[in-house]
Amino acid sequence: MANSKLYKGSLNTIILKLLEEQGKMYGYEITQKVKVLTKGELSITEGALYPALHKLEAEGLLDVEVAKVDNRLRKYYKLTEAGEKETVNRLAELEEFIRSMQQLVNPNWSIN
Amino acid sequence: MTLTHHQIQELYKFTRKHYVEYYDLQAELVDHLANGIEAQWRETPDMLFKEAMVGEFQKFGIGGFEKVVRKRQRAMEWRYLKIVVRFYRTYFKLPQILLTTTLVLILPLILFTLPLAYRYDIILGLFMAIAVAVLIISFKKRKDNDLECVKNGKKWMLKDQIYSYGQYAGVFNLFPIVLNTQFFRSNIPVDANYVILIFATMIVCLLLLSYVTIFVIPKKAEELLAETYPEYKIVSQL
Repeated sequence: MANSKLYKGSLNTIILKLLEEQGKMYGYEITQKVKVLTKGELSITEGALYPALHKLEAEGLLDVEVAKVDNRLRKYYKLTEAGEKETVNRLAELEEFIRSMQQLVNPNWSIN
Repeated sequence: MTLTHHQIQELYKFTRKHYVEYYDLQAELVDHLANGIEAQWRETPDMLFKEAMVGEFQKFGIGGFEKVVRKRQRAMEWRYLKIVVRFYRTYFKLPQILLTTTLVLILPLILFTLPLAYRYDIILGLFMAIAVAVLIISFKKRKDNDLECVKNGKKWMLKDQIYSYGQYAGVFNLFPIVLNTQFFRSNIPVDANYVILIFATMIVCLLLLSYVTIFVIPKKAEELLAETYPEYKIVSQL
């Protein structure tokens, strides 16, 4: 991860956003998708991804589906109705945070 | 190139060797390792299976699977707690609330018949009796439940929690110890109506909680496991 401390607080939001876009994904797929989207700049560690997924699942924000793929079981995660609402909230919070940071470090720049 | 059935079994063994004893987590980690190994083979087709497996495992960091297991355990405890609350709440809704209210109203009548000099001690004794009864019942059921937890050779984290009978509720066993301190003994007016009503409510709530965790939830275990783990039925049929 490029700067793990900066990204750490946003991991759950990243997961929720990806699931919102992709519908359903499995753990390994999420790590690879993030790598591709950020051109290798950000890589989610396995030790952080699964605890985050399991926590979101326990909170009722994610639902799971299991399918047999290539001799093994694959667990897919998808957003629940509560998860969809939470994604909107967390993305709004993240955007607000980015704007505030921007005001602090570079007042002439805008994300819009 | 995809992994063979034998190699998948090797990965299950590998996760068990690295302290992942629950099948629900093993299956997910096995798929993750398998995906990583297959990706490595696409880059380096000659790489040995074991070499690729160790390479993928190292991506989990120095502690290996330890953090994933620990955090999964915590998340599952939270889920179990939500299940307990779900079943417990039914005793505070119609029609069961009638039974709960009746118990809360009858118990003070009994407590008031107790001689004032011993009333506080008997109430503490009741709390203690519930704690001891829970302990004895749990102990008696332990052997059967240990067998139940490893049925089909697979352990499920939630099943383990269910058959541990909400060991976290054990914190309520501290009631008699706390209430036995000089501070509470001197300051609780055990002849007051409201005190007796509070004690009666606490005893009934504790009894119901013990009943829910020891009898109600284990009876619904299969249903709850199928609800929590979509793979539970697939695996049970294997």
